[in-house]
Amino acid sequence: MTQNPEPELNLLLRELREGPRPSFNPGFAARVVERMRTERMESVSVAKVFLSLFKRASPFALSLAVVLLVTNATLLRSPQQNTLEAALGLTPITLEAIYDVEGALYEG
Amino acid sequence: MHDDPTDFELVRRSLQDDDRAFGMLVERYEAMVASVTIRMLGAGPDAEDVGQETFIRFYRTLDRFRGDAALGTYLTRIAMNLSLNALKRRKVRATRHADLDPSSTSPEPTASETADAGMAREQSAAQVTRALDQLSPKHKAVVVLRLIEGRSTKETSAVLGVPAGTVMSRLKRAIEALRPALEGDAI
Repeated sequence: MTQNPEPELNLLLRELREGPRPSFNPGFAARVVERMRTERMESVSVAKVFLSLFKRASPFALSLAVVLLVTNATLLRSPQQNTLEAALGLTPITLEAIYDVEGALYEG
Repeated sequence: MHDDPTDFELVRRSLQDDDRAFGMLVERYEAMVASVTIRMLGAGPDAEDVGQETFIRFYRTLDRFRGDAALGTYLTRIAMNLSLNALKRRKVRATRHADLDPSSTSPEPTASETADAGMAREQSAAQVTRALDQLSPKHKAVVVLRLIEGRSTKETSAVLGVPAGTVMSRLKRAIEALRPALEGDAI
């Protein structure tokens, strides 16, 4: 065992530093480019198709959602519902609604 | 006489799907990335996989690379982050494996491996590598970059995304941790 390990440590680290540099197996760059090509093709065939569909469909979906919310909140609103409940089509929780659920359960 | 294209030029051409230009970038920085991943993970499929993933991640973000950081530093940062993630995954796997098989330990060199006196240099390197493997990933990263790769404190700080003071304190702790490990290995 050494009394002063500092010089030993420096020596060992220097040996590691000055020794042969680690390298990948030959043909590494070609393997990376091949993997990149594969990924590019996959990303074109899947992600870009989905993105394109999403971009086309999202304005229609958003418009439809707004129309439905407005229709619910105005035309289909019942007197017991507040605006949010009406817009989302939720049944207000009242005693009548609770008894109605029980009735529906025991009907069969 | 043809000058080698600059990194910026190769990046610009790669953005236009010029695979040859991207291949030239990989060849240019392959050794630098190999040095980090192999020293962090050891030679083998993990290091190769992380090396490939480094360049693939770089390719995905080519359009965001503005050249404000040196490409070498940028790639080293990706390689180091991926290596640290791989070490974490390896640690989790080792813990699970150890739970299942209590007899499993880290591989030690066999008598036949250590018998050849002419391989003293390699043994020393292996000794340091074993000692490094006992460090936590973040301490190992600092030793690899600062002491083995010979990068400056500022560069190491940029690669790891931590302040220079943190690099210095981690280095100090790493050296303190390495001493007994190397002494214990009977220098």
